[in-house]
Amino acid sequence: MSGHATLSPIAIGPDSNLNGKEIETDLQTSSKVCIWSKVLNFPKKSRRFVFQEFNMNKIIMLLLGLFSATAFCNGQVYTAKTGTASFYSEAPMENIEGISNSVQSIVNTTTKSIAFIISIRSFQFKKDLMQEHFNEKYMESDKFPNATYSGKINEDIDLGKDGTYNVTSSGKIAMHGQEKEITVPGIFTVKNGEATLQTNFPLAVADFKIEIPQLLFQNIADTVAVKVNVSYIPYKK
Amino acid sequence: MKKILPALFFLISISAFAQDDLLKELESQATPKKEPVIATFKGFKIINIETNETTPKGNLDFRVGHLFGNIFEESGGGIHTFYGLDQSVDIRIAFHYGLTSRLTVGMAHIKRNETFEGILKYKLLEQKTNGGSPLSIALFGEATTTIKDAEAHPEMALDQFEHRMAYCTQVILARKFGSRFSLVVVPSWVHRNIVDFDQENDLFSIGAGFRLKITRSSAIVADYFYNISPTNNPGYYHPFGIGWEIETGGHVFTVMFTNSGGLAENDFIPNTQDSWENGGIKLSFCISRMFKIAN
Repeated sequence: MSGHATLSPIAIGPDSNLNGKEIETDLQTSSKVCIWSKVLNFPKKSRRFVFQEFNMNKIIMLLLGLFSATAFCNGQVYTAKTGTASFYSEAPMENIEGISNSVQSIVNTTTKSIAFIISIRSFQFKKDLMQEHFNEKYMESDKFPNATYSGKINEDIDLGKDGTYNVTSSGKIAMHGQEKEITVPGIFTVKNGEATLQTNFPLAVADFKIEIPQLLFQNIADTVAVKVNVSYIPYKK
Repeated sequence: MKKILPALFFLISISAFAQDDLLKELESQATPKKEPVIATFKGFKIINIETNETTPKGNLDFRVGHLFGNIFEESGGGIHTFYGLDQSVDIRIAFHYGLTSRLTVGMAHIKRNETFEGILKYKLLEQKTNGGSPLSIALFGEATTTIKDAEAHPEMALDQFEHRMAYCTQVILARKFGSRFSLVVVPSWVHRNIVDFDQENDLFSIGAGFRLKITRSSAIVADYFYNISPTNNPGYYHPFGIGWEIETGGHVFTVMFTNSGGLAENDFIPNTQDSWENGGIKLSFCISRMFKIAN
């Protein structure tokens, strides 16, 4: 900011050698003032125009409009209307089964991406104590509240067309603070415009660092059978 | 500029639904639920003190509590009672049943004074996650009666039925801090219909206890009752117990040292006559077995 030079004592000093500089800076300052005054004295109409160009609301509207136009309203994104997940473990002493009715899922048939999220606390057991142990000791659901899956469907599907699609999906399953790459099979069925997905696959509890105390060893098998059923509807924001 | 911006947004919106973002989209939709905090305590009682936990609905909790004799010689223990193990000061055999997920009823027989005990516990408020209630609150009521023969025990003045009754009412305030530590504070009122001439009918006391989980299935537990009422004549003490709790599927096993004089609230709050200082410490254990008998 060369303009400040005018305020320095040297600039006001009597030395003639410096006077030329003073004049220069003075000119610069005045020209700057000039520009600012122009801005400040902008005619009202044009000022409003400047403001409108950077109206955030408008930008957001535009953004949302485009979002919905491209990604949501074309019917290629589907979300779970209802979803259940269960796991089953056969054991000599006691079979263990947990069922959750709050599976959330989203699938984009254009990008072939698919994702699931299941709250660990939503799993219900026949025995209350089993449920408490499942949450407290095995899944530590206060620390790791959700199980998630995020992956790609390897085949083409069109959920807008009736039919049965045998698919596989490869992606990451995460729970209990651990992640694992898996490929699972699934069947999409579209009947009378209603799309459902069924999938069954085994999971090894050791892959997710779910430790089973030795005392209870007979209670729980090393591998549990997981079942997920979801019915999809077109996604609306 | 006007033409570049929409193009930019268009690109953003196309890339917005990449694989990871689908999951983020789901996560953003999932509003964090207020879930009840589980496993504040692992059973109906810590050692002697009641917890906020009730028996789950349709479950029968079969409980056996045992209080051995005093360990040290100063209080009548020592080698000749094998440090109290040859004596059984008190035995409590109880059945607690979860009528609803909040209300538990229970019946017990207690050795001391040939006592029958009826209990009720109601879960008033549950501690919840994500901005829910910070406390669990439960109400506890106990009534005891003795079937002692009035003629054989004239000193107890049991000729009238009312004289056999005693009651305990408690408000149980509990909170779990994090995943390992739980605390309970229990303002308590004991009313005995008949007492010795130098004692009070109504006793007010405040109890406190904690559970500190040390491994996945075991915990250090302790409890204490402080009698507020001027009931503590010389020779009466505040009961304090400390122990180890082991939990396996369906069983809770607690082993502890305590100076308490009995196993029922109506008994150990007013009647604890042994102290830690005088070696009046007893080994005690409790076994709880849960049976699911109805839905």
